Amino acid sequence: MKKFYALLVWCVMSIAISYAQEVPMTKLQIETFNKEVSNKNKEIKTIDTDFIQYKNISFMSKEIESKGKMLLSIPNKLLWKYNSPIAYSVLFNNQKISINDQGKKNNIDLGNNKKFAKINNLIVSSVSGQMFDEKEFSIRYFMDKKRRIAKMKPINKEISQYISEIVLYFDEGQNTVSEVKLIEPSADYTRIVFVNKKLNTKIDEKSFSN
Amino acid sequence: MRKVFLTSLLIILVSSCSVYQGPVDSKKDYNSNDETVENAVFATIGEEHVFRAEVKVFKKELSGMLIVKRMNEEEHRIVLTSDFGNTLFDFSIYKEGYKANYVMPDLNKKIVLNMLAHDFGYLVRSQYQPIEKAVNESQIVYKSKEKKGQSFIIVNTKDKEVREVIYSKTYKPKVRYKFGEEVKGIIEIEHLNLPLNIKLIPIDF
Repeated sequence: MKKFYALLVWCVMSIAISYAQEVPMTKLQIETFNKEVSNKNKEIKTIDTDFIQYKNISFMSKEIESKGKMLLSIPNKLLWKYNSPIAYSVLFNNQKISINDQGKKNNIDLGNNKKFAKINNLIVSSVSGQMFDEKEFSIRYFMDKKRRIAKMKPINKEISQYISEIVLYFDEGQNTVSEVKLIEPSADYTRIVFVNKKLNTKIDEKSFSN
Repeated sequence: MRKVFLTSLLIILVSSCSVYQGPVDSKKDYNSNDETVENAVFATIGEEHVFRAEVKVFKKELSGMLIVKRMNEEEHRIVLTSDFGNTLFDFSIYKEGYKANYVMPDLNKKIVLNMLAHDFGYLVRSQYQPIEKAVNESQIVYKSKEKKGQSFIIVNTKDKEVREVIYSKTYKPKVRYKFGEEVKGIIEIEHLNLPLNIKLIPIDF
């Protein structure tokens, strides 16, 4: 009987481990994945989704949570609207950023700041999944039982001082990003999980005002 | 005429160069002190604090999150992040000095780091050994000698809580910290010699 229990525990544990384990994709799997994501991207005109942002700091006992809504209209309009813990929104519109901090407004012209423009492009392309740019990143592909995963290290040294790795997660059967993990040089990270995602719904132009 | 001019100039010089005495009417208000003053805000080891940080620097306004935790007797950890979550700086503050665990490249200048460490060092300090105190009906002003300059700790006589800390060089106040003066929990850091103010609003997380 003891042996049976030991075997049972071993089975359960090995199933749990294999369930969570990431394995590298084969060449063929990578090709298929890239094709599927890129085909899906061509279809995307808008994304309307809720998000939960988790900030992970090594010395804190739990993650710090923020929530909000994200609207994206290809090619260049992106609204991040936080409603918890505070009302705060950032609108990327063409080359301009406008911030609305509980009614206080602030504008930043991206044209003057190449670095900011690059980071903005990174955000837009990461949420829409248009990021598999081999010139900008060295990319490794993995999969576990539930998701396909792209781990991307920025090649540009300037960018890598801010972000050491971006990990994109694609839930099973989906070709758009369901979670983004931005890992910092200190190993602390921010996870953004997208929920209630709607693709190609009509978004009123007025929504992109801040 | 020349004598009058010189005398008045001397009076102006002397009066403008008088040693800063904190929020009291006269230097004579102070008596010697041997009490220790505790500021309980960041004194508990392991307690985690998250604030919405609103920074006004010159005419610009920035915002983000400030995370503070007392790790042990010796160390406070302080992290400022942007609203998107990326870390701007991560400091370990000790009684003597600090260590920058991470600093965003744009902020990584010694003068900026020293100022931030100084500002936040006073913010999280939980104990003072003042040499003098001045008592009135509503408050007690403690005067404490520092390595460079002095600090004035203002304690409310009713609840015995620290309401304000003013750090000064010999002649002029430099930074004022207000602890929940208007709304409980809200902390304000006001620089008196340059346009830099920080408001910290506590967040439940």
